Amino acid sequence: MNLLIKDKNAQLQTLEGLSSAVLLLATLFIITQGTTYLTPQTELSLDVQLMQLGNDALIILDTEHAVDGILLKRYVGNWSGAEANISSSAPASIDVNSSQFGTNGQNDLNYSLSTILPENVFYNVDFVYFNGTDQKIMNVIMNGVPMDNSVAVSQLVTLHKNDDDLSNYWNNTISSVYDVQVVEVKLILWYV
Amino acid sequence: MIKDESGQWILLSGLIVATSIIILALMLNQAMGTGYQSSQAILEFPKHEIRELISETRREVNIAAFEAWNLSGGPNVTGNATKDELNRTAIQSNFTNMTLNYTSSIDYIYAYHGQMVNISVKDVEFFDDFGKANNISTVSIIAVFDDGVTNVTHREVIECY
Repeated sequence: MNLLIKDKNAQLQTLEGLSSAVLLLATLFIITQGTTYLTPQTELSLDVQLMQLGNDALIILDTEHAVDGILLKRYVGNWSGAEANISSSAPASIDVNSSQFGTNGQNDLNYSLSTILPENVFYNVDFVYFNGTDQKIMNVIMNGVPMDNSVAVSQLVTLHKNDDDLSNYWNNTISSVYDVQVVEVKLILWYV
Repeated sequence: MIKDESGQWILLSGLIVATSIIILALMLNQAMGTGYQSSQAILEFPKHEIRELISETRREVNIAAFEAWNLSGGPNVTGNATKDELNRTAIQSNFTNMTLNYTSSIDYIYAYHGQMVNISVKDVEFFDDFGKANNISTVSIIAVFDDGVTNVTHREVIECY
């Protein structure tokens, strides 16, 4: 035993063995664990997160609820046609009481969205539809001018002549019971 | 110099350090590539648009089927209705009217995003049981989505309730 410890031969082989062991372990680590610990290094991942937040918010509102029905459809149908601008960010144009979000009697779409979305996210909402002759893009909520890294997500809503809560605005646009109005709710989001 | 056997430790540790630096550089490189490419893939693939087109069509076909029956006097028929009491041709024509308005309207919305969609309503089937509802039971649709890169053709038989 004593001999083995004091034997100074083949030191290079010992070291080679050691380094190959380290190399093998490192390779194993990279293959099994390395990829799962990767953190995205670009700001594109923030865009993806923001899109996910927006889509989720719209899907929550577009899901049929036992008491409230499809809230997004009711919000769009109740919209009076009043457009938002920089000085009036969310005009009193949607008044729908719901068991989930209550009402503020002003712009209930804005009220629900501000409840769902985090505070560091700002948003604008446009209604886009085709009225038979023109493509209309109406600003419904305008919290500011979107920045460079803003993203847009949308959800479709189809309105019918005999829907509940239908405003006069849509009543005039939808000509008959056979007529339908597809409206795209476009949510533009950005981080502040 | 070739025959000089001293400093083997230093040589080897140099080799180990070099290998580790190469491995670290490769990992960092991969991390950057992965983050960029996965985000790009999510942002570019119109998953939500395709899903929304199909789910909205499903919802709309159901509403149109019910409204078509409603407009053709469906609620007034009680008991075992016969074929004459509730005209299937009338229901189908009301249904076609409503879905045509819907499909032409949705075309414009998608065109505004630079995407082409086409929804065609194919077979409309009725419930066999006249007494029950005499209404549309299933509708087959073909939905085509094309944004120049992604082309999807979706066929589905929608059940109406």
